[in-house]
Amino acid sequence: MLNRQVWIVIAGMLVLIGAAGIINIFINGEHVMGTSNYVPWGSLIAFYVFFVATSTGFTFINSLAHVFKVKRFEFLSRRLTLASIAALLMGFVMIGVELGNPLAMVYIMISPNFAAPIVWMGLLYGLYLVLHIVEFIFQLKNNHKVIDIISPIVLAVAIAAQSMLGAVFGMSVARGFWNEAYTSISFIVLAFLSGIAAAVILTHILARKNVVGKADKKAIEQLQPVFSKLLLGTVTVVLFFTVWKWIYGLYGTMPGHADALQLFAGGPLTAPYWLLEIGFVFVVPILLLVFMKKRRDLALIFSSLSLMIGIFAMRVMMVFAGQMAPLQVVFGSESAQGIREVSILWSEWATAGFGIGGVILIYMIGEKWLDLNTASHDADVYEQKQETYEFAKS
Amino acid sequence: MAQYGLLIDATKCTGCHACSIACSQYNELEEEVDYNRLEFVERGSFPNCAMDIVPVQCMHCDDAPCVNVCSTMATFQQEDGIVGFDPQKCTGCKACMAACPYDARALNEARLAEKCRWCPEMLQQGKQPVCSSTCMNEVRLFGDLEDPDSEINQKMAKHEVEQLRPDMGTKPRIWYIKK
Amino acid sequence: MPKMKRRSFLKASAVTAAAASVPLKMSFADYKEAAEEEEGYKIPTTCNGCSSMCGVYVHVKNDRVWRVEGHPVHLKSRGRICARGHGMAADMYNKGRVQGPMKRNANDEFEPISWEQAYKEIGEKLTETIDEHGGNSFLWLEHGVRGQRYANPLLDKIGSSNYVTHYSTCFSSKTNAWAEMVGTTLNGDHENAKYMIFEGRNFAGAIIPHGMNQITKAKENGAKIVVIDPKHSEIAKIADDWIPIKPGTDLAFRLALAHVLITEEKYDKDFVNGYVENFAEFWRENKDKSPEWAEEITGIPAEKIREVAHDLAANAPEAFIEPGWHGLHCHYVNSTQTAQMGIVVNALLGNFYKRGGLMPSADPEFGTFEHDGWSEEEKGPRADGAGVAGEHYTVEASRGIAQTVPDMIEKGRIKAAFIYHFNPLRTAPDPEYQKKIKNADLVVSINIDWNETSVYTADYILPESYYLERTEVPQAVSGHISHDYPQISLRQQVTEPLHDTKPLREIMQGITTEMGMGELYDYSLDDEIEAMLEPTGLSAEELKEKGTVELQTNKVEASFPLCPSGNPNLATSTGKIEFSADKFRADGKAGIPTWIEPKVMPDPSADDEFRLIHGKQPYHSHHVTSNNPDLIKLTKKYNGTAMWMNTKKAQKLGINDGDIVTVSSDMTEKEIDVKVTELIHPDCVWISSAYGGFSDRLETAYNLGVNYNDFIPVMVEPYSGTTMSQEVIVKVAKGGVS
Repeated sequence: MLNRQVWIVIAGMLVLIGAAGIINIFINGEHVMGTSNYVPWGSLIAFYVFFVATSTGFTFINSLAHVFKVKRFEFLSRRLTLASIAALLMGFVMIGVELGNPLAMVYIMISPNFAAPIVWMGLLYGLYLVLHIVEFIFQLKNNHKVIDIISPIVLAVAIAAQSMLGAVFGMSVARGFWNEAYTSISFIVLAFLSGIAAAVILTHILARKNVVGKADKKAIEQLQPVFSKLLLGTVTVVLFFTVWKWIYGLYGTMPGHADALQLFAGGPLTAPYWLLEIGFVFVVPILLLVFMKKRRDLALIFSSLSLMIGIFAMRVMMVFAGQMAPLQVVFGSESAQGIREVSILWSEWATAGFGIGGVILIYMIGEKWLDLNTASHDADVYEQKQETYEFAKS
Repeated sequence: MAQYGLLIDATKCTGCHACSIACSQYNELEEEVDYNRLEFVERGSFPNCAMDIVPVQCMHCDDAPCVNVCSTMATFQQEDGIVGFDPQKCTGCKACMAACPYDARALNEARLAEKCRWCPEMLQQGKQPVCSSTCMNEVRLFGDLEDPDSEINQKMAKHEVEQLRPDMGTKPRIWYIKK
Repeated sequence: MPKMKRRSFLKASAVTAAAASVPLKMSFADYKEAAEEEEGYKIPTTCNGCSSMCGVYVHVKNDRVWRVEGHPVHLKSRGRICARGHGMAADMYNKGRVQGPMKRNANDEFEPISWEQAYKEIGEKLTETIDEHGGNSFLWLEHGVRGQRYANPLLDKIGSSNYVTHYSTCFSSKTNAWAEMVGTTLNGDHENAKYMIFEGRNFAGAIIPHGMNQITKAKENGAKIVVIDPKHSEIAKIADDWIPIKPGTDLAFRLALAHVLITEEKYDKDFVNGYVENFAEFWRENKDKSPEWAEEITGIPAEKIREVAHDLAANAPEAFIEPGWHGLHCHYVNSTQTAQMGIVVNALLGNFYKRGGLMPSADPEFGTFEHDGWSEEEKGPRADGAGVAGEHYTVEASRGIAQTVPDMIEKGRIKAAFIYHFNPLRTAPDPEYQKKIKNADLVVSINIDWNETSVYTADYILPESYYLERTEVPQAVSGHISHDYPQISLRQQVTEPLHDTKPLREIMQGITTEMGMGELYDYSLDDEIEAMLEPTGLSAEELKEKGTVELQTNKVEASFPLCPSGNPNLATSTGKIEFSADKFRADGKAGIPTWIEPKVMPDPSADDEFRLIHGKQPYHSHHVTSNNPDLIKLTKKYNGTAMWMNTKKAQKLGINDGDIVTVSSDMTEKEIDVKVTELIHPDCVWISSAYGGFSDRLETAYNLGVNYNDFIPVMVEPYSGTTMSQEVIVKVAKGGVS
């Protein structure tokens, strides 16, 4: 199948170029990254957040079937789990490249600091990966008994891990832009959003390219209104967080917070912020989903693509904005004027490409070697699908 | 156990940077790494104007954000209060750099977030850290906070002192004499 | 400082270990551990970061110089050392060092040459030149005094009077005034002073660490510090009062101070009656120099001038105008008179030979080393005309005029020149003109690195060993700060020379042996050290071990030098402080200082015109440290190359902080970025004296910033022969050079 080969070639290229970037970073260190001592966390941290959050989002969708017993998602569960594992693994690659000395992670076991959010994040994500793989194995074995037990745990761990990742930022007292309790909460919501959008893109391709059978294709079509509502609802919640972020920032005197917002309102991040965050995450999806009801399939895929790009940018801007406003160590000092520079250099872009290519490759390998079709001999499958259909019509 | 602290009289600093370069050589720091620096603040308008110079470095906080966020205890508070650093354990995650409200940490070529150690070898010999001992204007006075007779405690008692960014809740071990 | 190139090392290990990062961590830790375990040692010697020569200990680890610390006894460092002292130790490993003798070949390129061959060729050429043009066609040009010991035997033997120092680019106006009016120089007794004026003098920029320590201690004890300078310099940072004077008008300010002291009879009459000559004449000449008169010129309110004069008088004799150094003393056409007025005001305060006032240096009694072959031939007139009637008669012949060497060559007076540790192409005005030094028949540069002078003018470069690689004769510790007992310090070798370099005495012996005068330098350094130390009772071993030793003899007393008869006994014609420098009068000039207008003034109606002034940054010694990576790291981090401009003037010109501007004078135009600040007088712009390197073999300094010498022509101040380096008006325009 030519299509399949094209996908493999594209993904393979991304991985190869990415590998070059990763090797470059390993050899030359932060000299080939856009970071500095003032902006220590660069794009790779943002990419890490993006990938693991997308994984969390996949798990959320998946849990609709297994935890919340919304059966119409069940036929996707193996594929969603696989995609989730792939995204999670690529997230780990991002953080692995970001870490100057990843092997010292072993000291998280030897001499852990339980006060550090990163320890909990690390432990939870480690646990999440293990449980996820176990879950996937039992899904492949079609062992519902175990799946029913393990899936809620996976969801809980995923959410805990994601909110702990939020805390890694949120607990940075020095960085006013991040330092809020609701950083953890907004991380979860945004993770769901990226998971939903990614799931829409995945199912769209599955249906278009005839990867799945006719019945599943139909089921995917019938999921469109559900996805549409989920997307709209979640976008609204994210928007709610964003609006309050602005109001608190403009109203309050939290050091660093208002400075960071300045970056979006007349600073170096203004154009990307209003185009990619406000435009791609809010305006485009809301307009498409609300006004393009006639071609819901197109509205969904375009709004999801828009969302993925927008959320990707949002992650980067969140990381950057927290550090670009100089810390006021000594108020009014000459070195704390202006903006701390940060950029994304080719090795970092390549590493992001490695992640995207890697997700695609891992997923395609799964498609090739594993049976990802949820067993259809289940007696009530037809009934479920009917139910979905009815639901969609209503 | 001695509890170390530093009293800085920034009003006497004339900005010669000997502290920084003495430190760089003692610790054999790389080009992009500095453990201490000077901050310059201009006040007033010509001809009634002045320049403040404030030496800044790791504050060896009692409630150090970098210690709190370090997952492997590569950064840790020693018994003597000094915030120590074990490069072996450092994962290079840079959380300490993001967390420090004083911009006091710097990444080396090996991608580890180095920091001021207050020259333990010097302390063992009963000497001041090299930034203090080379300072011609005696801007920096290092000493034992536990010992009521120590020079630092006596001087601190004589002056009003302040700290940098107390709002961060970090409880620094460095005090500055108020102007 | 010396560090393993960790980055390239890591590159290598990273490649071999592919993506794994284990080796990174292990190598780093292993390296640190190894470094700490290694046994090291430390040796006392003296610093060479500037000409103060502070005592230091140099620590060596793994056979590499690791770091320096101040010598605890040495009165200039007392355990403390400035940034330059730390940084310049590492310069031993600088890539810009000349690694062996070099000869300029027919293609105008340098090629290595053996020492023997260099001695032979230079010896032959020099002999030829002397035979043809006489010994007086030989010039020894150096920074000052340190090479003189080994220059003199040759100069005396061949009969050359041409020993020229850099002082005319630095402070000859001061030394000239003091020599003629006081017969010696005194230093501020900062430690005991109650009121100190630093006028155009940045003690915290040109640092003597222990001197600064004494100043800050005095301040803590209640002393008042007043800084008069168009730029808020580092010493102004700790001043009680910064008075930004219109640049070039310090003479008027000092005349007005004297005016207040005299008209209000606040001067020390007893002192003046007993120890001052020509007071009445001085007053006759300067009766009209009131504070109101000076206000017009200096921009300082008359009331402020009165206040300063009153405070000086109230604190006298524990009050002084710091005698100074480079600042003001080679900057203006009236620099000599400004220096003279420093003496006058201090004398009116009666602070000479007073604690807290001005005190002499304590000097040890060195023995002289007598050796064979040294004979003094008759010498011709000096090629620079210093002290020569009809030329620069009033200029001190012992210091000379460094900036006019190309002129001496053009006139045929100089045919061969040895340039020792001096870089006139960068530190004297008008580098394009200075390049003509090359026109001499023979130019030998004895130096450490590939400086501009070596690269553009030398026929031979003979690299001297770095200061950490050589031992010198003992030095008296003195100059610019006050102390009771004399000290002797020794510069001694810390490590083996890295490159094929030699100390100056050996170089001179090599060349003169080829000239058939080998006996001139046929002795060992130990012979010299022993002979010098003989009267002090100090052994060479003790000095070598201790580095710096304080003697308990020759204590300085706070009393005016008197003859046995009780009359004043300064080395002046009357034994008193003379308010008129008679030597100046003999030349038809004014002996008594009075007002002289600056040579140039910016047009007050032209917003884009400024006087270009310069100064020392506390982490650079003019240009000599500018290729040091450790110090340039500071330059880059703190934007040290930027030109300072007053905020209001910048606003008028539409210039913002960090903007690139074009600065132009009659000589050149250059691009530079601007620091917009309140901390400078609107009439001037300021740049550091450290930058503008143009030797491409000095990578760190090359093309970094601009230098004030680019903008000024070669000028000779009429009284003392200095460069008048701030008598220049520049135009500043926004944007780069078009």
